[in-house]
Amino acid sequence: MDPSIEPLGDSAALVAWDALDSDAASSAVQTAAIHLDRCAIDGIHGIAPAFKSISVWYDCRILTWKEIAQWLSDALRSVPSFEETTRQQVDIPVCYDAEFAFDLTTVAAAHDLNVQDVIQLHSSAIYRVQMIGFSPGFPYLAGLPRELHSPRRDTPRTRVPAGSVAIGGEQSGIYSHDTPGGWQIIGRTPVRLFDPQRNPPCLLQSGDVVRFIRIDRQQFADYAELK
Amino acid sequence: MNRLHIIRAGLCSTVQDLGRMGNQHLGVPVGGAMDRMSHELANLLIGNAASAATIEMTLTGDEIEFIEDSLIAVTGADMAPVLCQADTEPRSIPQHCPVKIPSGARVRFQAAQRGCRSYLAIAGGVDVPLLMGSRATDLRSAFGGHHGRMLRAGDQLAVGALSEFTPGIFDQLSISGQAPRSRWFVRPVDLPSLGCTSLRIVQGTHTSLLKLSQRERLSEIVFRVSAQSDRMGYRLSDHRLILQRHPEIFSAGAGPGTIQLPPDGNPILLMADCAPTGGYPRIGHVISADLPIAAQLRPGQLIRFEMVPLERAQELFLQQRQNLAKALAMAKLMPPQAIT
Repeated sequence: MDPSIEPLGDSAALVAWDALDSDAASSAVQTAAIHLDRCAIDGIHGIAPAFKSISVWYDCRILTWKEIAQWLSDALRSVPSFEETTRQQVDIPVCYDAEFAFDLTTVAAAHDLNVQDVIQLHSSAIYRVQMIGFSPGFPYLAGLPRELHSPRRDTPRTRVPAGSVAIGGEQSGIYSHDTPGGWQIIGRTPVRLFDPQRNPPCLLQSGDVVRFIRIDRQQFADYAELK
Repeated sequence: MNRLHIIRAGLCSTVQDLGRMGNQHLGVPVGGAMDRMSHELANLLIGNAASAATIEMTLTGDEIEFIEDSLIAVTGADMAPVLCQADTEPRSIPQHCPVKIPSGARVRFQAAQRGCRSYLAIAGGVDVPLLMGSRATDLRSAFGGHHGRMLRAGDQLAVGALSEFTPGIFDQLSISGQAPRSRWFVRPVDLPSLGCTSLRIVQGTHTSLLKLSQRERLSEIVFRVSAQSDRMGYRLSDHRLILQRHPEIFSAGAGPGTIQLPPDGNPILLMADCAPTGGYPRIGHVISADLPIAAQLRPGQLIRFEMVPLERAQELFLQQRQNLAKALAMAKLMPPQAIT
């Protein structure tokens, strides 16, 4: 299916696969983003994949809207039909201790599960990074088992600690900074998701495959100290 | 090496440059100076590259001591800066032109009399570490700039190496010991008036979903920039916009200028430090050429939106860049002279 191409203000274009379901759109987005990135022309200075769309930022001193729209339309026709598996697989240690897992019992009770079931389900699934957004390095992860889908909190917390592993709707995510947040918090990772002094600064990128590895409180402390 | 010493800090003073364009896929805001025109102008007036880091001051300014003889330019909001030296009466410092500051002197910025954000450029630029290609402060994620935070009293900021263009400007200003400044000034973008400021916008994905009566008379609706406004965005109040139906929205790209409409109907105008994605309907985008004036709006000021075609928006941006270049070219023809 051909995506729609429309202006996103006067310095970006939005390529969207709105009619596709989440999985199909996500896979179209990943493949197209890699392709666009690879053949980007002068004047394009940012390609950012989201759930069902890609934003392409351009300099209107170099490219007019007509030119960028034409280029996108041509480039999108030559996207390879198979997905290239250049993305990394990342294991992320998570401590599900009550100390960090503010909403674990709430999530368990809402689904008639016990806490161990929730941990087991969450740490045995395989996730895919659909998008990095919200704050630098925050991954939106698809692949959360249906039994754990949970609504956001009615009242968001004013501060969620960095590293908090969370559930929001059908997705899992990891807070990369101390920020306000409304997702259900079920654990914490000692790993730093974003460090501007590191290259690359983000641990994860769009398209990566993620597994959560359960660690205990002592391992968390050891890991945090190592850092 | 020259240094700046912050004696007293303003309300929200940060180190800024042209930001971190191209990192949106990492969730990193573009950031950088809110009023990029004023930031660039301040730099270019004293021979810096446009990308050199400046100090952005918000509503109230800092008091800053200059350790060595310095060449500075102040642009943007009028914070009535005053030069204070031992044994000398305080003198007001002109804006939008190069000014020489003797070593040991202090410049005291006051509350903004017009506009919201003032920019102080120093020859050589504020030298904080480059992170992801920029020296801009990202307050929300607490990185970049000076330790990822606002400036406070006692901070010392290093100054970078002078460009090849600076010494010429500096020497000409040194001829006389009197009020060392140029006799011209450059101001390519005006500050918002005290009345209602018109911001030009282009269509957004969901403009067509606005209630017909509001869509047809959008330019007549006057919004107020609410007190909940910062570098991430302005919450607008006084009028609620209503959509005919609520579309299913998936988080998608957003940037400075994007106008989002949350369920409460009060639009949010995203500014420099906004997240690169947003999950609310996009009812329009303030055009690039009007972002500098938007950056100078103060909480409480009134705005309205005027729709223009995309081609026009891009023309206006190009014109604005050409005007800046022309103004600077003319400034070069008039050598800076010291006046009494």
